[in-house]
Amino acid sequence: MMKPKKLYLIIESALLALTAGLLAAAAVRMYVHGAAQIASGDLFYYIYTREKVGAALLHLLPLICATAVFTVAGWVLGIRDESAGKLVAMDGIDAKESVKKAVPKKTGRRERILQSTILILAIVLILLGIWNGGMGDVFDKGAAICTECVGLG
Amino acid sequence: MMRAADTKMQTGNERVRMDMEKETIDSGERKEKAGAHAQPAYGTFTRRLVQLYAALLYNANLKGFLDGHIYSGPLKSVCVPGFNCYSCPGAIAGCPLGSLQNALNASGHTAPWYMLGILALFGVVLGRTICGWICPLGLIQELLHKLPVPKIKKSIVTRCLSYLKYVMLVVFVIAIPVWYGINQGIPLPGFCKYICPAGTLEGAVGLLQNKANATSFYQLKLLFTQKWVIMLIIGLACAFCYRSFCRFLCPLGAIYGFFNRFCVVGVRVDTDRCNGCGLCVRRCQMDVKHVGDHECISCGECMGSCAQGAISIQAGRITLAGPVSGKHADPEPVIQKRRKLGRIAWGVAIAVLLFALAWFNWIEPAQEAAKTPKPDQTAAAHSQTETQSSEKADAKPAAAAHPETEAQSSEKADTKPAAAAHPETETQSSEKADVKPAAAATGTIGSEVGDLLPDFRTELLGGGQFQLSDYRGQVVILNLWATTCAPCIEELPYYEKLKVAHPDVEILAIHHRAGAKKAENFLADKGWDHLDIALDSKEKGLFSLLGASDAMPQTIVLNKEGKITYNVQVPLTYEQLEELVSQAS
Repeated sequence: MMKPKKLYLIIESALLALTAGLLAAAAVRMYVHGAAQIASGDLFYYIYTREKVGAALLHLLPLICATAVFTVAGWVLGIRDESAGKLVAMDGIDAKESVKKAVPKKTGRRERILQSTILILAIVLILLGIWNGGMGDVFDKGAAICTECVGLG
Repeated sequence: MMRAADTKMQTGNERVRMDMEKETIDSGERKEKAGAHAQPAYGTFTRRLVQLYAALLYNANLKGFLDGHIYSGPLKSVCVPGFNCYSCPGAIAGCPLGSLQNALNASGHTAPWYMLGILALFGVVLGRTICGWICPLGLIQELLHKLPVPKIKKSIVTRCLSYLKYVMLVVFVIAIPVWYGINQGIPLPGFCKYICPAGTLEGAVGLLQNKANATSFYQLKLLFTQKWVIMLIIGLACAFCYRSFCRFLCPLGAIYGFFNRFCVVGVRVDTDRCNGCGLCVRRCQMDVKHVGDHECISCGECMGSCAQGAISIQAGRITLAGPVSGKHADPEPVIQKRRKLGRIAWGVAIAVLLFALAWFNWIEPAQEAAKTPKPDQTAAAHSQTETQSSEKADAKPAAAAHPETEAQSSEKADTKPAAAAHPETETQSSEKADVKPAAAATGTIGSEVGDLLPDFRTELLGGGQFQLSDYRGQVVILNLWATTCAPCIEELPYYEKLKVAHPDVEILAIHHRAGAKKAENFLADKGWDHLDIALDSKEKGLFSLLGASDAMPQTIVLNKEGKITYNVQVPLTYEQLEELVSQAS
């Protein structure tokens, strides 16, 4: 007999996966339909519009709400994967070696020299970048919307 | 031989099993046994507050979410340390990863010193502490991991997957931008374009949620579909597997990881106190092999697991957080002093945040509004031109000379007299033999289809001037573009071709004010001789006059009457341009 908590976690997982899957499917369906329209000769067919996206989200609203309710209820009831807090095996990791390699509290001379060198180098590079227009490039990119970067087009 | 190996393996497995049994006792019992475990896992609440603080500070331009415009002030020339899309309406500074790709794109003519310096500076000071404490995407991933679903624990598989981010770094962040930048001359940020979920969530969804960007939906095609699906997959993975994106895919984490061993701020181990129990590594949800390695995000969660009180967060020699209870706790005066300093730091941080919120949402916009040329001034200059060039001084100047005023104040007049919109049209038209006299232009002034576009005048690159009203009687296409926009650059040759095919169609390509000076160098070797090119600037404000957003490319088509027949932010094909011209003719 499955424990109620485990069952709850499985239902929650299924709801989440279903929501994500249907959101993805809605976008793919919209794209496939739009691409077919464009291929049929409609040069100015808009695959996505605010109205179409709104309608698709409206269809999924009950599922999204159910997932949200389940999630909040899970939090309130304190249902969680108990095994998540447990320790994991150190597959292939030697604990003694791990201690030796850990970053020590006392910074060694070598580390301090490395820190200082990189710090100075970084400042020099930044100044060089300001001089050669690299800083301006960052502004140029950031001041306008990069439609490709965000997936708009 | 085989038996010996089997026995050895069995002994090893047995040891691990016993070890696991010993250590997987519930946390209450373990705390009792360890003694020092009365101390809670350090600062989860503090860390969450810092993460929220950083997310809010990075996105202090809150009005951007309301008006749908991004911040484009001078602070965009610097980067924040964490992952935060610069096309997010709230973002006040650049994304380090996006900017690095852009710098590598331009590496054919400008060495990427600036971005290398910025990343080295962040890396050597903070390392992956950035990921654990001040990365908004890290916060989102951790919140998703709070969802009540079964969790996938770290294992040798996840440790292998953690090396995938180095592949991402080499292929998408370095190779693709450098290749396209140098060989194709196209700014293509590989990671941003094909993978980045922050861009999709903060940039695309952040912009599209606003009604003001409704036409941006028209741009969405395969790229959006693909990125939307990737974002959902990553989001879902984060619910089941702790910081999936951060651990397996994030190239920024990979870069900062190189600095982790010697960065100034980070988690450190007092080797004199450490007894080598390995609880820190086994408790950690990241794929660390030891405290402070390239996977360690210095979150400090391991501090609560250490019975020896050997782990602390250090900034050089200064201890930022150490054991506060148990037999190895720091002395009470030290803890009190640290808390007092913490309160001061929080006070300063809150003051900075409040100032940033006030600056980006009220003070700077007010200053910008004061600096923007008054519509009346532009109109006055315009009317002067009209008086000089036209004999029609009596042609209802009141409405004629001020179309910009109406456009900028976005008040739409109902109907205007025919000659009112652009009285100089007839004079100009009569000078051009092949241009038909202007049809009676009536309608509202604005930037929507059916509106009359506000008249404007601008200098052209290479000499000469462009005045919109001069082209009444011709089809006019205005293309808004930028050299940093790959779709724009791919689209421009179509306009050149169109101009050759339709010499009677006037095409003006207006470059965004950002990077306008570099556009001249860019255009020098392109050989696009038929296009009229103008550069926008803060003073000219052509983009805002035309009601354009900062998303490009945008195409505005005007028919012979000067009315807008098409105004959409979408890259067009040559066939579409031909169709638009025939519709407007």
